[in-house]
Amino acid sequence: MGTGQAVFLGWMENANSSSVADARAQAEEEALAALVSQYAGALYRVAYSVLRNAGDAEDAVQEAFLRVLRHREKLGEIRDHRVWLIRIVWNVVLDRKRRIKTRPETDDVAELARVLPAEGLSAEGRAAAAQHHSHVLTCVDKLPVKEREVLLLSAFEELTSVEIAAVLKITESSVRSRLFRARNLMADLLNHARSQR
Amino acid sequence: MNNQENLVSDSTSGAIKNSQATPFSVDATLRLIATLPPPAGLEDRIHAGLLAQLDADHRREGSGSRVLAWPSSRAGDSRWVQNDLLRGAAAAAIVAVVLGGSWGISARFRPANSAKGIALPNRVAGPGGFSSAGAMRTPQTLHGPVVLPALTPLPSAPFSPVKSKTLKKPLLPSASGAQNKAETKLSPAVDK
Repeated sequence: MGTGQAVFLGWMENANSSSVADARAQAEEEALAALVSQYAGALYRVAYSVLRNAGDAEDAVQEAFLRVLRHREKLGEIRDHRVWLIRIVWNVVLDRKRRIKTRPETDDVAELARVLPAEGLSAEGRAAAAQHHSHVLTCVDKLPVKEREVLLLSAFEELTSVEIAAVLKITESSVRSRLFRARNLMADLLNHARSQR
Repeated sequence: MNNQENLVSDSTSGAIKNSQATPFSVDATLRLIATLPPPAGLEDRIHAGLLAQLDADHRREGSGSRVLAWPSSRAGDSRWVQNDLLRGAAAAAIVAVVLGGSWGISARFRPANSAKGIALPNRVAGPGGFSSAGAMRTPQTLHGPVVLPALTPLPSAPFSPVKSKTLKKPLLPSASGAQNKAETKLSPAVDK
């Protein structure tokens, strides 16, 4: 084979490889779009449970998917996309939570009253419910970090204790023991708050 | 403790039971948040954001592309270039060869140690020649200028005519009298 022929073959292969790369990129983008459609809501809820602000939670989900976009070539290697995405958004949320200053409880009440569903409740009942939820969440914030993380994730029915362990990178027995401690501490905190009222 | 509001933790079921009549508990609050409906248009906004990021990436790649798209691989002969492990091994081998070669050169041609002083060989006098006889050359040192204190006339000793008389008297009657005269005119404090 002559040199010119070899170069020509090289260029031909280059064209073929570019079309293959284009097809692969398109497939990755389609897979990413499917992930957005499937898991955006779940990720939003995870983000909201920590940030408690609709705008911040949406930004966190957006940032998480942007991270996925940057590492989209790894999508084929991931076994459980849901847990992988939740872990990404969890890290994003914790980063943001560290940067955001703690909001006062009144802000949480207003936000919860706006966001939480209140079918069959009067205006007064809705306000009372929002205040109660806000108070509970304030007590959740007083928990130690490890216990708080497990408690928040345990509220998501779609996450088993094995998956929570995968998200937090701990063992399943640690998840169980932290959850037990978190519930006990929450009971103490709520009782203490009620006795002070 | 108020029994009505007592929260009981059940470790087996993992649920907090609230015996109070209030419809809200800790789990209820957390589950309410965990089942929140996402805001309308969330997916569309995320899609739009991802597309904008993709466009920005393509633009960046386009601006940074080469003038000539060199064929990255040819059939058959450059398959190994695509293998990361082989490429790493090749790079390591190149680095090892370069380092080994430079070390070999530096080991063979080690530069002489730079001495602080130059040891001169002892000069051996040839037959019939002169020798220094162990004499050492010492460099000439220059004495600095010596400043003498200025002459001050004695306050209690006025000009004595006796001294001037002796000075006026010629010391030697010979022809060097003129020289002696000149010396007497000079200041006596000048030290040669």
